[in-house]
Amino acid sequence: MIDEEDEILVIFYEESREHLETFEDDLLALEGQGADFDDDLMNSIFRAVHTIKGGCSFFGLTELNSLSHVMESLLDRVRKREMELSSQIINVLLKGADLLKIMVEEPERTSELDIEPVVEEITAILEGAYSDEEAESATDEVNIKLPSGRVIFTVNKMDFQRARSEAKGGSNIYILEYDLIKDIERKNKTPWEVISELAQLANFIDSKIDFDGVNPKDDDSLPTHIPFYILISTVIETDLIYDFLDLQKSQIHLISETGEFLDPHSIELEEKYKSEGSESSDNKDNEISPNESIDVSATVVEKEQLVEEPEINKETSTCAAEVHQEKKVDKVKPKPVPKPRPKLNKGKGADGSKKPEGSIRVHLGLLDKLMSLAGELVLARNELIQNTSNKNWEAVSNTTQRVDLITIELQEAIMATRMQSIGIVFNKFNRVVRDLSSELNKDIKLILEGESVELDKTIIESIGDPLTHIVRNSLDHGIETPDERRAAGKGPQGTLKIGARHEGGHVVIEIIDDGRGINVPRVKEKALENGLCTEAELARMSDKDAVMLIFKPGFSTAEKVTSVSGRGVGMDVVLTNLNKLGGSVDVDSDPGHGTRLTIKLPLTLAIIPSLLVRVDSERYAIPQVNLIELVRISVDECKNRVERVGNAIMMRLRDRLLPMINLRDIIMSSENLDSSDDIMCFDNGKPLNIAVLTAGDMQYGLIVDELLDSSEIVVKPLGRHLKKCIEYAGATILGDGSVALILDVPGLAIKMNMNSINNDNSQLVQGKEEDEPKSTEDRQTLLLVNNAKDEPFAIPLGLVARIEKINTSDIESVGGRRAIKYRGETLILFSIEEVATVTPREETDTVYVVVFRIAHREVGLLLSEIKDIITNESKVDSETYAQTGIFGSAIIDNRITLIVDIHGLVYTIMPNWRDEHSDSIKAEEIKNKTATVLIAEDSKFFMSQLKGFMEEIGFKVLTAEDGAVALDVLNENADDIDLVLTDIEMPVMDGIEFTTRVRQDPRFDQLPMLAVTSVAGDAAEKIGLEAGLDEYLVKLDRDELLERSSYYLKHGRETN
Amino acid sequence: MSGHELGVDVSHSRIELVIFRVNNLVCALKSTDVQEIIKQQDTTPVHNADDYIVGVINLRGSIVTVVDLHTKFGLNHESESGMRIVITTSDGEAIGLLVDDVDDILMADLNAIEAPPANLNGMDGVYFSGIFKMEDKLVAIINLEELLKIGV
Repeated sequence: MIDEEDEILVIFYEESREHLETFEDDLLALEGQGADFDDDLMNSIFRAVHTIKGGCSFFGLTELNSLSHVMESLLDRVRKREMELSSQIINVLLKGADLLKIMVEEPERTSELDIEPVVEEITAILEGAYSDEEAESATDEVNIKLPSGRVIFTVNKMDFQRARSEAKGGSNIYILEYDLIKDIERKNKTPWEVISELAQLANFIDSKIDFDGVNPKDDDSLPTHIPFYILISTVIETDLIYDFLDLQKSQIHLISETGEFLDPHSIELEEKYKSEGSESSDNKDNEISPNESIDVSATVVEKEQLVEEPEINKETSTCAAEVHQEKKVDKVKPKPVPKPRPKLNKGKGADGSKKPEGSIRVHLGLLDKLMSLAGELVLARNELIQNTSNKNWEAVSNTTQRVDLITIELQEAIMATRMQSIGIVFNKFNRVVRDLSSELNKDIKLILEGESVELDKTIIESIGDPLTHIVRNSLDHGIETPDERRAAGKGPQGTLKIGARHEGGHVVIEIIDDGRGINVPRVKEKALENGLCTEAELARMSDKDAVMLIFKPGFSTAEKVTSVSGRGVGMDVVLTNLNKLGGSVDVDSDPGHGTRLTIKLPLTLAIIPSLLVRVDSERYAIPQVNLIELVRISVDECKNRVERVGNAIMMRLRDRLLPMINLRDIIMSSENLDSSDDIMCFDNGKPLNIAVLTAGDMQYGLIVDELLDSSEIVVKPLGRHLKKCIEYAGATILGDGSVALILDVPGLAIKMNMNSINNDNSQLVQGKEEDEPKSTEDRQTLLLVNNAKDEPFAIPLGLVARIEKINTSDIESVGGRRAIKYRGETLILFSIEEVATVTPREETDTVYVVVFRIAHREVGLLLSEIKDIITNESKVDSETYAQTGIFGSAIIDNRITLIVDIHGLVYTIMPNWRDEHSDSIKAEEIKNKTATVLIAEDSKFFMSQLKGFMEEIGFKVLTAEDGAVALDVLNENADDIDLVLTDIEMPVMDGIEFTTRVRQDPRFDQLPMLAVTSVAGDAAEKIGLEAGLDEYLVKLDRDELLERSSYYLKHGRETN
Repeated sequence: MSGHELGVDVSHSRIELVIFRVNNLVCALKSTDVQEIIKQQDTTPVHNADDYIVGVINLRGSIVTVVDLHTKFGLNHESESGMRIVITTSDGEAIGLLVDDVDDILMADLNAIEAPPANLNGMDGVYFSGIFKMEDKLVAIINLEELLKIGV
């Protein structure tokens, strides 16, 4: 019985939850509509609260009742346009909705909640709107008595009056007398269902179980009658109401305006049970007011006693009264020992943080489909059994096929029942954003996209908290206040965009804000402070990796701890939760412009399509989502298409080099096979089978012995001892009952250090540098060109003015130099082989000219082919291949590529240009003393270039390999240094941070600081200039560099 | 060693032990720790896992990790086949232990159980919760929690 009672309560809570689900969004939508709101919307909001109120009075949920009651009254006023919908009302309703939500979602927390302030706030608003007459009636109460004189309901007069004027209500007020046993339980209904049904045709006012009316009290039989009264108002007249309700005429009583029974049935009916009613009614008048309705625990206890322990009834002649006392005792004690609703507590409390197993609503159509599929399956099985026993093998194979088809459909249908749209999660952000922006005094627009994208229920349920956290972070830390935004040159309104979309078997959720972005130096500093990593680690870290530090446990960059975020727990929890769901997170931050957080989630967790592969006798499954294509390379092709670069193996796939992993390497590494030649047995006369895989933005080929079938596999988790093996995502059971491991494609890449392949290449050539700590790469954007066929060169893109294609016949020879007429001027042409020892360019009909500005002139460099523009990350070797006209070399696309020194090249041929140019900007002539420049640059290559340029015009050069060192050097030589050149991306302390620190020191107010970068962008530049840099220059643009340097030396900083 | 430390109600004063052999070592598990005992079956190796992990097997549809007690205890294999797998439950997860033979299931008097020595035939005593003295031999009772602790 307790169980059943609980079940009803659970249903009530569940339905209430559903009502509240859209409540908030509807309210917000309503707010948006202003005074001219949509009636349908309003009604649905009203109905939600109304239905909840209906139930809680029955269950004796006092707090829930009083709160929903005032909310209902308020909504009712607004609905009838008796009150204006102000944002104050919306606010208080939202507050109320929050409380209601907690109360129906976590009923055990109800006692912790303080609903009074909200109730009072609403009451105050309501009272402000009362008409005089109403104000009077607001305090009056109408007692509705049974003919015996016992008060059954005490209703606020105003509510009573209003109920009568209700549209659906109307002037007829009835008390419906249900019998909990006969009318409800025996008809397999629940009281809650009855109330819900009634709500369709009448206006529900109150309900109550009348324990005093329970019979019998003086014999030993079970109680046969537990009266359950429901008070409604309706338009339906007396003679009609009998048709609508599943009740005897005698159970329906019409009530007068003053609360008297009007029909004759009631009297005779009441007589039957009133034996003790009259005696108890007098002294209980005060107790049985709706505000003090019956505690559910008491209800339960009583019912149990009544049914299962009838002897108690025997002993005490006033059972009901006794129960009542018990209830009173409960109320006197602040904390009753047997907690109310024990079952529910147990269900939720048992396993702590884990959410209770909920139920799910399934579309009827889908359920029907499942049923018919189940039916089909049964038929197919019968057929199978029959055919097998008849040994009709042909038929068996046919039936097996059918079973297969049905199983697939069944699986899909069952999966579909678990799919829910992500809008459920997204929509709650309307509220979060609204509340937070007002709390933080920010103006933020929320854009939601892809709300209809569906995900597995488990994922939907678990994604809410991490997402909320991210959103809160974005609002708090990311988006600036309107003033800050205006100062940064942005519109005052910030935008937060949350979007979901499908992407190859995954759902991608993006949270994009246009705020200030993540301050990388600050993140690094913080990480250092909190001891999350060492300085050396930070030095090696790229900005992107540094941003990911925010996901480390114990990290919080909030300058001040606010109530919104930055409470020390944070993004690490987000990451853990997402990882639990098989998802991943990526952050892109553009300082000053915003942050983009990308979450990738699997659609479902259970069944995935996969490809089976074999190595030796072992089979592995590769998730199909990671698979791009399958490639087979014959023995003949191997030589051409597969290259070994150091320890790495690369495959040529449509003009692209693809790194490769031999699966055998991974599984054999535990068996001490260290000779890589044995492992990479290309020459064993067998073709290579390669699965091309993708993991995030990385692709690689996996070499296996054999590519087997594709099949749908059920993912099973691996035991805890195997969790650390990142190369496996789980295991599955194959058709023959054996186990195959599922490969984790990103994990494999990490295991094999795929990320470092590029670096390995450069080390291969440089060899000697292996022991040195890796500095950040000499990252720069390069134009890849060919001079002679197949001899690659690279030109720093920053120096290139433009590229032209010309006919060889247009080239003229003037004064021993080749030139073309171009835009009315003469463009002098050079070629690399004029100064450098390289293979000369073959003569062709057309030729490319890369145009540079050197020494105030435009010059052209002749080249045979323009190949690509790339951002090179690998190290530049400034020794091995350096010669006149060549800075050095780098490994690009696995080829040694020479980097052209255009200044060196031109000045070698035209030495007088250099003198002309340099003379005009000699450093010492400007300052009358040897000017000193401090260069902060982590790349040796660039450092030597910059140093060379500056020394060339007479600067004394001090060097520093990062911002921190530069700061020290600057402090030591404060008086001597006239100019600072700094790289932006440096380990330990980057150029921005360095500049900021320098500018904090008043001594260096007037010190010119120039940034030298290789990858310039407007965004980066803006931040730099804000930090106090004077200008951005391109690293290898010698002329510009010298000119600007001397300009600043001459004129000092432009302070404005 | 009191019965309490073995997690057994002292009042019963007897516990049921499953006795098995790993090379020359006779050990035992409380019967309550043992889910079932199966014949050695083909195991799918998990490369790069700890050396004492034999691999995974399919036990009626769930994936069970199999731990080789020989390796764990630093003992040699007598043979490569014909062994038994004792399926235990630890932390809600079924884990198989590869052993040579399962000898017996018997009731042991708690009084006959002594605290384990710090070092048992060169093995770390931490894996054992007690020594049960039988008439003709000593039985090392395995401390399952310690045995299956990760990262030891």
